[in-house]
Amino acid sequence: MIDNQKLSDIFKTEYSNLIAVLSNYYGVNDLQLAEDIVSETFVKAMKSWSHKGIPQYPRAWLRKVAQNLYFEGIRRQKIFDDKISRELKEDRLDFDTVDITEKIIEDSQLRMIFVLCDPRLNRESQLCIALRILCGFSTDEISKALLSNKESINKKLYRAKKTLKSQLSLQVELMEEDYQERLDNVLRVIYLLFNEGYYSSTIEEEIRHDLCWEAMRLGIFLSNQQHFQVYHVQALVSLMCFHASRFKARLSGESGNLLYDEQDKSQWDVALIKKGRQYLNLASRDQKVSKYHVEATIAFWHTQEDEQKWEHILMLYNKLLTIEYSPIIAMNHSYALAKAQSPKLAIEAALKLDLVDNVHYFCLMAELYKMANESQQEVLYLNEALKLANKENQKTLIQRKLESALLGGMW
Amino acid sequence: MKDFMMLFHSEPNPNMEPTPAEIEAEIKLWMDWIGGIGAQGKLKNPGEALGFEGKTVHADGSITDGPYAELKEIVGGFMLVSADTLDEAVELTKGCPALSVGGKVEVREIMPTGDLPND
Repeated sequence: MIDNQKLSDIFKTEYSNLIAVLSNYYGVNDLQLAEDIVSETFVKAMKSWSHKGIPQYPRAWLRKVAQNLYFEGIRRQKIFDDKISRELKEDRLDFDTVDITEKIIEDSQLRMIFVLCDPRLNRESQLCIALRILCGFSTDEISKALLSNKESINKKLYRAKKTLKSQLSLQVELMEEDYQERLDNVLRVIYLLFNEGYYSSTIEEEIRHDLCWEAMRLGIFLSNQQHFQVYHVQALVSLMCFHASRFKARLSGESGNLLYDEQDKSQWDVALIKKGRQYLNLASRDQKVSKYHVEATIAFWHTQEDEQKWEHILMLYNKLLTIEYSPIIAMNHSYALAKAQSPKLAIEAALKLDLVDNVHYFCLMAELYKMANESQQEVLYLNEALKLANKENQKTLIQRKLESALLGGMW
Repeated sequence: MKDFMMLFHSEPNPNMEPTPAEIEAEIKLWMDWIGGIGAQGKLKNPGEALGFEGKTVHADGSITDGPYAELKEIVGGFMLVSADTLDEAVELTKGCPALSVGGKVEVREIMPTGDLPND
């Protein structure tokens, strides 16, 4: 028997590595070809491993097979060129040997990220294709991460690949200013990747650590680069460290998902918090404040036991809202308002948020009413939330709150 | 959604010398109010505060110091918000710190300039 979880882990991480390296040789314009080879490699692995078990060095095995498939393809192409289409023959590039080493993977991945975030592709396409190629996201995962639907993502991916192949010749040699210009989008991709792992939209166990670690790995990797100013990257890495420090505490509940207030703070990962602070200090050398700076500072305050912390957090959410609006920020802002000032003020403000199709909004309203000791209203909102909940453990969580609210109301 | 500009009017007091703590408290009041508008997704641009120093250029080419010469009130800052109607934009001024110190908020619709759509 092979361990399916292990297999899927290997495929997931190795997918983007192989694509990145192969695209180096094929040219990034033919992503489909690289994707085909990687798929074929995985099929071969499944066949072979289901008899013999997973080899001792599965990644090396995959790289070797991908290499062979690549050469086979080149050979076939050469035969076709020499014997069949001699007249049509153009000067082809000479293919050197393909090496797949850690170093080459690193360089190729870095270049791939930036090449894919080409400003001439529209933003959504950039994100779709980067999430697919770099992060091995399924169409379903992409559509959830971008708050879109499967059909439209499929179309976008198809169009983006087609554009890459036929119309745009992607610039492979990037100049320093290209790196700088594209950095924002690259950071957004990493941020989305981390978020998808942190609040998984498709999978029942709430945190998908693999995605979070991959995002952190990419972030730390970028923060070591010389090509561009890395302050924003460092801020993003800091943010991810602070969040990741709570993974263990968050998952230690019986139903597997504890809210911030319920977590056992002794389970927070001190080393990661320290890392987060180091990166935040590095990031703060910059004059400009990005949304990652603000979010990292909020996450920092969450790791602190300080009477004034909610005042600071509220201020930071105010600041964040002047940089960017999102429903999540708006809801967190209301919560901070309740903590820093009063639940009554927060309820007043939250009633103005137009988020009536959002399950989290109803949970927030319930929580605010709970803080204001209005259990009737709390129950009302929890019932609404329950109607909108679609994940099993989300329902369990709301059910649990509902029970305790009803119980509280009786006394 | 239309865009509106809020102009904050106040009577300048050149002799006022607030302490750092007072400035911080003032900023906090403004940020709390602006954050509330941002949370509704209606903040278009947080704008800027304007300094007291200034000059006024007249049609005859003369230049006078500051805007105070003719006006008792000056514009102390501006901000852009989005709203469906003027009334809705006016509603957003509720809680504006300028109003609690005797200032005024002027709300004006920004006229679309009729530029071509981007794509």
